[in-house]
Amino acid sequence: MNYVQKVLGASKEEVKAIGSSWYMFGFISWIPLLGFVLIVAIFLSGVPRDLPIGVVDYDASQISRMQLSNIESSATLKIKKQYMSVKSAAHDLKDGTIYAFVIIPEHFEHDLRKGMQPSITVMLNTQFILMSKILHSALTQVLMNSAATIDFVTSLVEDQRPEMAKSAVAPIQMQITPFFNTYNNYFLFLVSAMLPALWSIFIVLTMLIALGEMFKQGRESQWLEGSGGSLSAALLGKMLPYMVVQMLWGLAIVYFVYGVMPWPFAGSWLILAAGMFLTIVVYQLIALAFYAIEFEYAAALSFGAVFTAPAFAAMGITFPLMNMGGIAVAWHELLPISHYIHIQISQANYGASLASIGSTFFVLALFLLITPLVYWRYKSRSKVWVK
Amino acid sequence: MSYFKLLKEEFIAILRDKDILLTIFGGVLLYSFLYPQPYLKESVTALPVAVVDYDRSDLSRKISYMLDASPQIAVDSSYLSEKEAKEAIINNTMTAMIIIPSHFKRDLHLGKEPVISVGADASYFLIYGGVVEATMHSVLTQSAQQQVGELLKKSVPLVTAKMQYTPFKTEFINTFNISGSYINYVIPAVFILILQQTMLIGMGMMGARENEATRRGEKGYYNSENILAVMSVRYLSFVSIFFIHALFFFGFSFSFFGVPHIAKIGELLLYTFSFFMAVGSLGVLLGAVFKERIYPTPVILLSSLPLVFSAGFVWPLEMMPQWLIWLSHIAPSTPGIQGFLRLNQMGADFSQVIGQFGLLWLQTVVYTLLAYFLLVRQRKAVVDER
Repeated sequence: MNYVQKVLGASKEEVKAIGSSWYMFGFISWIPLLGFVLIVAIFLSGVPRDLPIGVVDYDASQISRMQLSNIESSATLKIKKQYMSVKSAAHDLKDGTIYAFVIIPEHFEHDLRKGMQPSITVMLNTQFILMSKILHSALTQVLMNSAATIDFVTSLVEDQRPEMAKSAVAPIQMQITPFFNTYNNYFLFLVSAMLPALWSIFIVLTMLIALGEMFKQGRESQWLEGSGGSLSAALLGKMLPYMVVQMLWGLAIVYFVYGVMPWPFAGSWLILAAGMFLTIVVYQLIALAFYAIEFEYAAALSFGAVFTAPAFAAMGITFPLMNMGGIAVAWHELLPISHYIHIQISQANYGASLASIGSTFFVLALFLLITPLVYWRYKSRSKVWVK
Repeated sequence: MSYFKLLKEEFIAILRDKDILLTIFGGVLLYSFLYPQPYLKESVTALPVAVVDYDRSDLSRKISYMLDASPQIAVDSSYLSEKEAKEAIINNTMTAMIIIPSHFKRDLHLGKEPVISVGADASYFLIYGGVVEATMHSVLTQSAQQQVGELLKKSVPLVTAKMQYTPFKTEFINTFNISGSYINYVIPAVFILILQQTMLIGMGMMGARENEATRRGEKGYYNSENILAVMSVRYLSFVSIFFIHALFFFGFSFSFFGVPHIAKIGELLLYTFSFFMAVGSLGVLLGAVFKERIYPTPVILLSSLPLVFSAGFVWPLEMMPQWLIWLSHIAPSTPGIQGFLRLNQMGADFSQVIGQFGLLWLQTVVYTLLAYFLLVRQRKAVVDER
């Protein structure tokens, strides 16, 4: 029996075990699918529309009503209710009925005509940061355009020349080009990182379950026999079926985000797949290491859970890594998925060359250094397993 | 067995199980410290931005200085071309670039509306938003100064000119999380989820362990004493342990990380108690459902991401499919997070969270009844077997 046969022998055992356990099979099939589907369903709409806001129009003039209809015409905003007072609007802001409200002061039209520059006030609920940022930019745009229209009309009356009037309104123009996520879509921003975060949890869990179920059912001697007594072949053989499964899930995620959804993928699928494979192997090793701490199923699951649960927070997608403190950065670096996500984004966005992301691959590969330690733990334990 | 003895047995059983202890004490403590770490700086500051100044006039330099002065960005003007700057963005040394075109000053004075372009990586929204916000502010300020200057040239007095550069102003006022801090945004909600998940794992393991023992034919207070009494000591033990955790979170952790807490103390305690009653009843139910102690951790761990993002504080509920909102109401964390945020961060009256409060108690009643019937059935099955 050569080494490959030994590895495959152990893999065959594992596939048999998966086939006879609804629990093990669930964790590589419908359970991850359900998790991914739920995440996708939450964010599928991608760009928030019709966010409910309130207005308090103390002026009730033609011009103040014009502001309201400008607000209403924005796809992002929806006037849910007109309030009679700031107090009643604030009440609804506090329970989340509306995310913001706009106050148009008394004498707005009058002050405007007199050139006394009245102020429109917007109260934003910044407890919900993402919503408040979206509302801030949508309202700024609406109200600035509205101000510019009024200004343009006045300048036109004074100057009589449209082109001069236009530049008098906005002397400096600004053009914003989003690189990469050009659609400004939250789906791409959040889901493209969240799915891999969930995926990393599955890699660790399935490996822990594979080991745990085996020891629970007392199949360890069978497992070692299947690989002709070679422990390294047995371990590799155990990892192999899950490598294949997780590779398929990983590719399915990336294919869904950049293939099914209309987002561009600029880079090399080969580099991405290589990064994916390395990430799987690294996480599997970490799972093996967790199991080897005590060789106890429930304890290993707890270690795995504590380690993988906060993956999304430390990735540096929602909050920039540059602004993180030392402990957070250390934690970020210790999670293989942080490095994977860097490879994924750099491939999808600008197709980084292997040379320029080689260092990321190198860091991921550093995790492989725990292999001897893991092997030693299993080796010293394996005497008990052989009958 | 007296009720007090039963309670003592329960606490001993919890304290003797190191996996449960690791989760309900170790996990809670570790996360209360670890989870806020990424957000300690609270908001995005000093992002490196490349400014490519093709004009090199006093005016373009002034804009550069203004950009540098805004808190979100730190300007690096050593890049000579757009291409260099873009490479720096790809290498992650720069987060964005701002291009001031040649003849910027001249065009401005000729009334030709020169264009300042901003390019930023929108894969990272917070970075992108910060850069856009800062640039917008600087450009608008410069634009307004320019307009005031033009008006002054037409011998409009300064006071009037300052008022006339735009017909009306828009003022944004932040409420609740006034500084826009990320820690205030994430921590109050995520802590609620951490409390729920660790409590459910602990209670799930407890119940599952007893199910294992019962199957092995072992006898203990959990399968011999009155079911309602057994259930009630379980509520009492876990709810009191987690109540202390909650006091630690709301009291110590919130103050330590500078998260505001504005709820009236009585209302906060009432809501906390109700939340834990709902979690506790779900915990007893899950404990009855899980046959082995290895099931709770994976199942509950996997529910975390969907639960936190369907609670409505990150992503608007208005954008989520209705079936998902219904589904999210299974978990106490959904009304939990919504209620705690409204009471403690947004200063809502208790009457404004009555819907969420009612849902917590509905969950408590439904899960308690389900758990009770399940336990009765299981006990009967064991008796029949004997």
